[in-house]
Amino acid sequence: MSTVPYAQRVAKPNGWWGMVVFVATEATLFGTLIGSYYDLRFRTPRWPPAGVPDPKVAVPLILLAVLVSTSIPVQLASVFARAGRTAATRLALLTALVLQSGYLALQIHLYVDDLHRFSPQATAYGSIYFTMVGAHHAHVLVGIVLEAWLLLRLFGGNTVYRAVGVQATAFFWHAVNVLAVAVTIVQLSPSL
Amino acid sequence: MSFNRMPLFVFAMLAVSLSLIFALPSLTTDLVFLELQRKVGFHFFDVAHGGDALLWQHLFWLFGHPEVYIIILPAMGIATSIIPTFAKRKMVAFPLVALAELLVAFIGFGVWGHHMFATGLPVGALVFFAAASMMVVIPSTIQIYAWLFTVNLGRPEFRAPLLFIGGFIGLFVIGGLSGIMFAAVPFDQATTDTYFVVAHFHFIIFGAAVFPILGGMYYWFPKVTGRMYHERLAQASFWVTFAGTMLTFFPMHIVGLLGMTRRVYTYHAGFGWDAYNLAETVGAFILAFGLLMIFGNLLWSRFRGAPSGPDPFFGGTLEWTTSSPPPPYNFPVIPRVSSPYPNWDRVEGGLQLDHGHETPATTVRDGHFDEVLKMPSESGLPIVLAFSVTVLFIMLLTTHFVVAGIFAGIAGLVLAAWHAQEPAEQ
Repeated sequence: MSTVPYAQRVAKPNGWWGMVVFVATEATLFGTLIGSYYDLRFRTPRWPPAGVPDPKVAVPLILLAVLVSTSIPVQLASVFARAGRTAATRLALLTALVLQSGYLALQIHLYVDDLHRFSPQATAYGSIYFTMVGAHHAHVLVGIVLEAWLLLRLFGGNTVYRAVGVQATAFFWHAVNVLAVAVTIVQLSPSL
Repeated sequence: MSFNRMPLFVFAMLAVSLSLIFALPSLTTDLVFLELQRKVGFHFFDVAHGGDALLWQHLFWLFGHPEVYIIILPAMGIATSIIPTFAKRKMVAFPLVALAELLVAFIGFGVWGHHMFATGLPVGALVFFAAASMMVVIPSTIQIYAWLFTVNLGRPEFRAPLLFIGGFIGLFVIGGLSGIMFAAVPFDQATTDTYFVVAHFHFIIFGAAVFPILGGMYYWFPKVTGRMYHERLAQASFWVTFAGTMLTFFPMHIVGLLGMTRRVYTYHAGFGWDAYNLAETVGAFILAFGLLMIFGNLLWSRFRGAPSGPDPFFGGTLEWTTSSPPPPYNFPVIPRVSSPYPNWDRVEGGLQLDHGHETPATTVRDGHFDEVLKMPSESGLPIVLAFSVTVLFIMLLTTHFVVAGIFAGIAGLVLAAWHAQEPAEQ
């Protein structure tokens, strides 16, 4: 269990390739969401429309910085898992999990707060805003579930199979963080 | 198997897979928007609340045009499988055809606007989409000439599968010639939503996409069942199907130019469309009879056909090196592959895997042996997961959100149970 798990294999593991394909579809999904945002924006004389407040800037940017910084513990977990350092893998995953869960909790709070200020059912702005931002939060939730699952499995020890899982999940998180930058910039763009 | 030894059919399927990855999310977004608008009261497509009706069309066709190539690329792949076998030589311009298949899929992402030439897009967009649509001609023509020259330079034997490919090439050229007319914006704007468009896409979607599938059904029937189809009846069925197709769809060009619009179920007499539409109806019956001949032939041969042996056509690709029908493990010895036509360029030796469900993994580009993979065993969990997800989405569609939530929970539990089964480590 403590040996280097798949040093004999040259190619990236199949599980990692599966995650690459999944990330490709999800990135395209966000591409179409952002494209739709600008399609609707350039047809509307006032954006956001009258009666809808401009998006807040400071708090989402700070949260974004926190989320992007979790790429570091996630990548460390991937390196530790492949090196067979199980305790270090667990610690890195736990660090990322705490930061990301805190991020998601605050973001859900902001989301509910936004829902009280303007409705997705009143204007196209509200519709695309809550759909796009909600899709992003859903992806953060998926990443947290993947990580929590792996953490649970790793309490039973590290294996090649689980190390591939950590590597693939790390790739997923890097992709989510890149998408987070794109989504947040679009979300804040009316105030910038 | 390294890239330079991949058959052209596999290149076509690679192009299809890449297109699917990047085309389907657009449809997903579109359908989620539609569902949110219809069931939850969001606004994406209604102008009164700041929405954009054309957004639906943009997202749909950003999926929809790549989808056309997703439909037709497997047909092109089947053509590149059948032609070398019956022309008894390798495909002409092999690398060009492989690149053309990938290029068709790639250009397919830049042409969706040609479905929207009559919706009032800006002139710059019209020019871009017109130019991109004309570019598709280049990789398509490369393939057509490669197919024709392979037949011409070989010793062709016109058995039923090759006849269907011949019909395919003819129908594809007719559909392609009307297709290139639509790339010219003024012509498209004049013929949008007429039967001329209906004629075009039936030549492509029926003539070009279905004919190779019919030929492929005859071609791989002996491989799948171990029995031969009836050759004479198969050749007759081609001529009936081809005549039916031409008679059904060709007059649509003419009635379209005479002004008949799409999506009408009746019209007044005296527009001069009657005889053409009667001919189309007669053609449809002939076509249906041709299809019945094909399926009747295959059904009869399934039980009464002569035994075919492993390789009745002396095909070049790997499937002809194993018995017909193939055993569940395909090959007792993992074959060594020296070229895209390994049955014609045989090399001896290979890997034997006899410890249960195992398969070799290779490096990505060069195809060197890398690792023995343990494949998963039978499990009932995937089908239960598929069923739960199906019910989940039906419940979302019918706004039974609580039941949907229950099935989402079931799906999550099944997923967890599935992933709790881990492979044993050596």
